[in-house]
Amino acid sequence: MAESTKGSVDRRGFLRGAAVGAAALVTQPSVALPQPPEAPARPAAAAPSNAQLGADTETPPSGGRSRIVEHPASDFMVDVIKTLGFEYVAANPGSSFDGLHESIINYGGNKLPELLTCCHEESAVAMAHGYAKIEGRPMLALLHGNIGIQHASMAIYNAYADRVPVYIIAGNWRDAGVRNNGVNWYHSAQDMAAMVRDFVKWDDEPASLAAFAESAVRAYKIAMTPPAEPVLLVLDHNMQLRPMPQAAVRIPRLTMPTPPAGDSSAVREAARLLVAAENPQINAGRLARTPNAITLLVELAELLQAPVNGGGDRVNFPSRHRLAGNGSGQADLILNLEVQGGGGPGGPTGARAPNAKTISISALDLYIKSNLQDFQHMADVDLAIAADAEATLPALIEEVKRQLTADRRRALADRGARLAEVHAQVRSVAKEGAAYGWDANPISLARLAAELWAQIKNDDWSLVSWQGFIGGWPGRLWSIDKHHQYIGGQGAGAMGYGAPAAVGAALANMKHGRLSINIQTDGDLNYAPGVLWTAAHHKIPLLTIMHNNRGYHQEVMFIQRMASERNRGADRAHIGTTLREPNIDYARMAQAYGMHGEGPIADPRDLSPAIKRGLDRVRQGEPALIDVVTQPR
Amino acid sequence: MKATLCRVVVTACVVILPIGAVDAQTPASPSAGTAALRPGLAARGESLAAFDERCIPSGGVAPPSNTPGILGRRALPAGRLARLGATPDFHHRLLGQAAAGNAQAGKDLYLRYSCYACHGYAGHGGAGARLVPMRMTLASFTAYVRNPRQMPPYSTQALTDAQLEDVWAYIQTLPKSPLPKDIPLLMMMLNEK
Repeated sequence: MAESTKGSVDRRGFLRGAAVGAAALVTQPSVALPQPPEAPARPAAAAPSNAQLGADTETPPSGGRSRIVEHPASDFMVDVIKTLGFEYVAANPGSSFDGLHESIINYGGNKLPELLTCCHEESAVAMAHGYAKIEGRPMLALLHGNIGIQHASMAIYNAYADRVPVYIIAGNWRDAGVRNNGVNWYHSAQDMAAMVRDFVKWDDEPASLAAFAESAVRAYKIAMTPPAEPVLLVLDHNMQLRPMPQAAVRIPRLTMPTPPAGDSSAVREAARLLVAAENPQINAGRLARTPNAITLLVELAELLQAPVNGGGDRVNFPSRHRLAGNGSGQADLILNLEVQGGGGPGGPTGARAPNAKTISISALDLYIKSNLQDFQHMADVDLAIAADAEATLPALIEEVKRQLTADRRRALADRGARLAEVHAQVRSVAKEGAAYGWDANPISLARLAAELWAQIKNDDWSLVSWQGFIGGWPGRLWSIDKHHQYIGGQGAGAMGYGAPAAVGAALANMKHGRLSINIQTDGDLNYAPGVLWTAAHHKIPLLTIMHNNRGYHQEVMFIQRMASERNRGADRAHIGTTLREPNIDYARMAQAYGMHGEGPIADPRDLSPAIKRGLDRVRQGEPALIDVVTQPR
Repeated sequence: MKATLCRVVVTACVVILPIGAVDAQTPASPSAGTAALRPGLAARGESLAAFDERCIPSGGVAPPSNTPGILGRRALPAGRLARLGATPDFHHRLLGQAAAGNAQAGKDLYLRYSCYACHGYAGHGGAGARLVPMRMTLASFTAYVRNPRQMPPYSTQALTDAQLEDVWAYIQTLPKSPLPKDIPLLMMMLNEK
């Protein structure tokens, strides 16, 4: 049967245990007391443990008991993990998965996957989140018991709301009968996944190696099937430590399902509506799972000569395409591709005709959970196609081609010319807007974006941070036309995502030789800045440019509004919302974590040379940070 | 966590989609000055002339654009300006009005009351409107701050008329931005494919 883990030392309990031990030495009672048993006493009516019930019990050792286990079950777990093709495993170390950890670095050779040392579980999962949006497949993250899951929970929810696959394994001391007293009890749970079940797509706690192999492969398949989401496997600590059974354990073959495409009659009807529409509008949400979606959407838009709002969650459409934008006038037909939710009370109605029709193609119609309200208002839709939009586009394109007559093509060409004019105007307006505050100190975000563009535009670059807090200036000024050039935002909008997701995305970009850029908000970085050390330690090339507005700026505006609407003035809106007195020195923070850091830079004349120095470092294969003091928005 | 989620919701309402998003303030183009580009006019039953009049403070004219042919917020194409009897380079008639307020005190108020939060330290705009160049008279500025359409209202209890005059005076001192044509980097970007 399983070896007791007596004698193992939990990471987080080590110091506490040492202190208690020392105290015990100096307060040794002079009278003899009953000695504690060698092993924790089992409850009188304990049910058979999982370990006892496991199908993979080993042959009892012959002869004397040895603590040497040369072929532990966690080696087999690594075999299973390797079949799934993970490149990296992100983890903050924890004793609940020490068996698997040891097998990854020794038995697995610390390759495929390679272990990434993270300073916080939230960072580990957020790194996996950013990585998946570049690489298109999940990274493995290991979490330490229920405390690791709690630390990681916000990052899991972000990935869930962003429809991004993250593959999570958490350790647990499932069998209370052999669980050491003390901290391991605090870190264990009867139903470990319960605390995040509302925002993982699937979870399991396999009771045997055979079950682990099956669940591990199943979890990958579920995570990657649209809509992609995080999955969680809970792994018993004792099961990791057991000797491998002599009989071979089957590893199921992974065969990914084809993503669900739309029903052919519904697609035909959608094409009919699109071809007939006088002023259609295409909106893309989390459409592009792969770079091919961009190609498909361009083809559809050009066939229809319809404007495309590429949204802010993925690169769905080239930002400088003549059809990029919202077009003009009131839309009489709206095609939503993986767009979450609808208008609802108080929501924007957009420029749409009163009798406009809406078509939705979304895999979200195939999957919804009840508790957390990430699904938004119920959209008013005339034709809802429950399918993956990217997988449906080829059939839709073919139907549109089939239904387009020569006369109709000529009419649509005229529409396309008008839309190209509108697009050109929008670009000019953006240029004019960027000029305002050009010489301002602190530095305007438009200038920051422009100066960056000048130095990266000839590289294979990738913006691995969200544009929402920087006025969307890269999207307005840069040419963004490749899938990896922008990864969108947090998903659930929670802070603490930005820095680790950028590092994870930069890691994915590294092997492609891409130049990764992170425009980093100060409030976000301060959630878990230790990820800067992870970037330095693993030599992940990434230029971080601080958008240092010295506050949780959105909150400044909220409190200002609240105080004003209550007629109390707004001169105390900075209380609890700003990061001043003292100002945080991000250059020294970066240096402390082991990377190039410089700043603060508030004079726009100093910006371009600083960016160049930072890029020089990044092009040599290391991370760098430039602290830029910026305008609020 | 509750605060975090609250932040999320409101953020989602405030932030404009960055990629391919069209500035909500995008004006009509000179060449396409039709109701098609101002769909709201027809929907509201408002004529173009009425719209023009409403966009410009009484007696004033929109400021010149930084880009010939492309117009800034509330600015109107030459044709429309001509119908109003104005010229494209006609500055607001009250820009020359002497600012009687204390600009230094106004700066303190601008920062302390977080005007910068939405309008930028340079008055160049951001989450809120651009303030430079200031197109509003002191009277219209004060009236707007008391009863705004979008920004939070500031009553006399929060900011007195004299304080608003100081703020208005400070905004007048903020430097104008350079024209896009004088910024090679922006011109380069505009000329890129």
